Amino acid sequence: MLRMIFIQLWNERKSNVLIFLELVVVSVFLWYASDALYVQYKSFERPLGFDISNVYHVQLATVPVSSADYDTSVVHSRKGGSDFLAVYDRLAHHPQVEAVCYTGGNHFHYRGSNQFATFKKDSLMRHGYVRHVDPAYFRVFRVKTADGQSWETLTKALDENRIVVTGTVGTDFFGSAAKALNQEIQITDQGDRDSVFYHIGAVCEPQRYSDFMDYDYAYYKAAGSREAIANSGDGLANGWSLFIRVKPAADNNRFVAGFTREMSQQLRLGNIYLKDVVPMSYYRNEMLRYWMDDIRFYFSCILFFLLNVFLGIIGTFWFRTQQRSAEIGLRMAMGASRRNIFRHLFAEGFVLLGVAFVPAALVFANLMYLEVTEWSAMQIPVLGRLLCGMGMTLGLIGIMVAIGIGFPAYRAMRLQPADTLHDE
Amino acid sequence: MIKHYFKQALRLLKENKLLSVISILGTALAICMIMVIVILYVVNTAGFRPEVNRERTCYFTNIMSLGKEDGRRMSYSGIGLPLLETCYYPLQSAEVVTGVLRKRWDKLPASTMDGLRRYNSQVILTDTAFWQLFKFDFLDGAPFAPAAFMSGIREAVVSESVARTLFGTVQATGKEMKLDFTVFRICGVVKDVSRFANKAWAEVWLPYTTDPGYRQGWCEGINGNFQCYALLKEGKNREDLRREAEARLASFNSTLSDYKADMLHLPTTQVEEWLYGGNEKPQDVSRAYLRYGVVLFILLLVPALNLSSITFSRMRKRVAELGVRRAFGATKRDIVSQVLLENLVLTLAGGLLGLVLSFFSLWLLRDWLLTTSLGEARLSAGMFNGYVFLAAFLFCLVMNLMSAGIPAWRVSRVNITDSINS
Repeated sequence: MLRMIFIQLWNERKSNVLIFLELVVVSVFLWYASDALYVQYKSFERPLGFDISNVYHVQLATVPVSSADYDTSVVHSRKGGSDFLAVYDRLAHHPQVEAVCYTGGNHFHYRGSNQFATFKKDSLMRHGYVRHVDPAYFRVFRVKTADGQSWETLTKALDENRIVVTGTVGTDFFGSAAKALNQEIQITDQGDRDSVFYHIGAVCEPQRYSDFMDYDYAYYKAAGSREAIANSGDGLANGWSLFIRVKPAADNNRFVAGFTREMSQQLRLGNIYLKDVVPMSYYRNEMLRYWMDDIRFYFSCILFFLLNVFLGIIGTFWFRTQQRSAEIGLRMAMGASRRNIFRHLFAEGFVLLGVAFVPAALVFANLMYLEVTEWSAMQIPVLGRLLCGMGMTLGLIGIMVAIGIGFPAYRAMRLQPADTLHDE
Repeated sequence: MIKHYFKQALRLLKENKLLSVISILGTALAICMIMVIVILYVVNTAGFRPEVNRERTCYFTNIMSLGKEDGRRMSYSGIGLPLLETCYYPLQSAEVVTGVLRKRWDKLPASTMDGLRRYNSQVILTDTAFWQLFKFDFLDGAPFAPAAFMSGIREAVVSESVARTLFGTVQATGKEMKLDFTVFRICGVVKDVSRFANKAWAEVWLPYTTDPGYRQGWCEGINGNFQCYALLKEGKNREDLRREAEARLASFNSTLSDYKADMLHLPTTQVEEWLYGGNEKPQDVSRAYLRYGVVLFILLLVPALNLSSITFSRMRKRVAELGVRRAFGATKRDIVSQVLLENLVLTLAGGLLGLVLSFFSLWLLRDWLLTTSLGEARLSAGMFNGYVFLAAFLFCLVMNLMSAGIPAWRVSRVNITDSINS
């Protein structure tokens, strides 16, 4: 039967060539798109190294000096940092809040506000980030240690005024996270002329900046003691960021409104006031928009290609069953069952797809070889990637071919042999 | 003759409904995808109110400061006021230069004096040149005056929505409101601006001299929070502007002791700003265009192949008819143009449907197609120019040629006797 189909396809090559070409082109691009999605998905699903669920950014601000409401007393202006600490404590005592932390200057997760740092050891040099945080940062963002323990060790390291490096720094500079403990590393913060040798107090899990980025280098150091904060001015509340982790039971879509209403009065201290409470997911969505647009673009292209395949197949096969009604009638008269006719048409469609897929695979292999396909620093097994892309492409086009042929084939099946032969 | 072809094409349309529907749908789908891309390109790059001067505007969005001796990286952020004043404001190649402070991440609560009605608004702090670069539609009042700007008098221009929320009317000039604990007098009300105008868009516009922190900066005045937009003078191009800015920057740097400023590849044009805004490294715009070209080509090619095979099978049915026409003296060219014209009817029908579909899908998918970095934007009639429709028509023509060209050529070459025999 297969041989028959091949012979027939060959005999009809003139009318088949265009649909064949379309299947080749569509297969290549569909494969390209599904491969890009696969790579992005692989990159997306790796652990981030921190957890923003139930985490909110508590935005504080200060009353401008020009305002009549500005409190000029020294306690609230030049030493307004103590008000900041009071706000911190009030947040910590709130029954719905599980943990609070502040970070100095930069709001780094999903916000693109960073201070860079250069890591050096022997001849190895890497660029990364420095992050000034409160020891409770690890608790709020649920950062684990490199060996999967919870945040306590990390918090302790900062409390002892030592630094915490990410797992990536550990493995790249010392071979493994465990070996990096208590080792010395030379770091230059952005803007500093001199570098400092630090003893590594703890190693946290590898972290990534955002869901589609790779693991990067970073280290954490304590943002400043309570006394230092208490002695700084009220401007601190503008620059530094406060984060709270809310108890899961209390976190719902009414949380922000309720919390703001309840706390506005309590957090109005000296010149500091509560401006906004923003869920971290907001910053995440803002940052990921660029990638999301890409993914949506690929999805709409896939949909477009599939619809075209569907239209093309249904058009071609519909026309063909009309043209070949005589042939079909003859087959029936010769004893072919209706089911046979149906199966014959189906087989024809899938053989056409199979034949078209061979050159498509060759083209794609070449594209991959030339590195035109989606690039990633991740080590993705090539075989798995190829099989996944191929499976998805063939599966999707297969479904479209099946739907496209189904209707014409059903029509062919219902033909009356006598009617069709009558035309002859 | 052409009228005759059209009649015949319409007749054929009715004859095989399924094939016609498929052809029209295929074309519509392709044109719809293409038009969505074209429309998004147009709203992001072409000028419309208030950003009417997009073609001639250049953007200095960031500045890098480095250590003077060792060139180590110090900061990469907005522009500081001293740098803005000494290097950018005096630029001779520019007709208008404006400095803008945008509080991207925090909205300021605007409220009535009694505090009963509030509107959390996005604020732009700027100078008077801003109102020359961008052409806002004032519903009431006027922009803040140069004198008010110079002396830091608290005046504000607000958008229609803000005025309506706070005062229930757009006639709000002269009324007072509180913004971040400070009292401002409203001097003008403008029509709401689309967020696609992402440089001009805000809800409240203030003179930056009213902001207590506007002089705030670091790295000896190189860095701060300003962005700077310059409107090129007639006859000047971006290179002229860049060269002049470089020269001014060099003399500014010579006055500094520890730092030096580097503007990298800036200023950017509107297209670059849209594609790669904020990127530290220069990006090649031609690559983006190449990518667009490839995408458009594929979007045309796949349905064209598809439609070709349908057109071809339809033509095969009519070979006898065309053979007769040849026998009576029609040339190959006549046959080709007949097939192309007949097909054009289908393509145009599909194109029209596609254009409608593209507007519909823009509306349906506004959540992600029309979302800018500032939030959801809306399309308005003012953003569309003739180009959108011209582009739609041109793409239809290309599509027609691609989908009917090969079948027409092949049918025209069939031997006369053979075709009549069949």
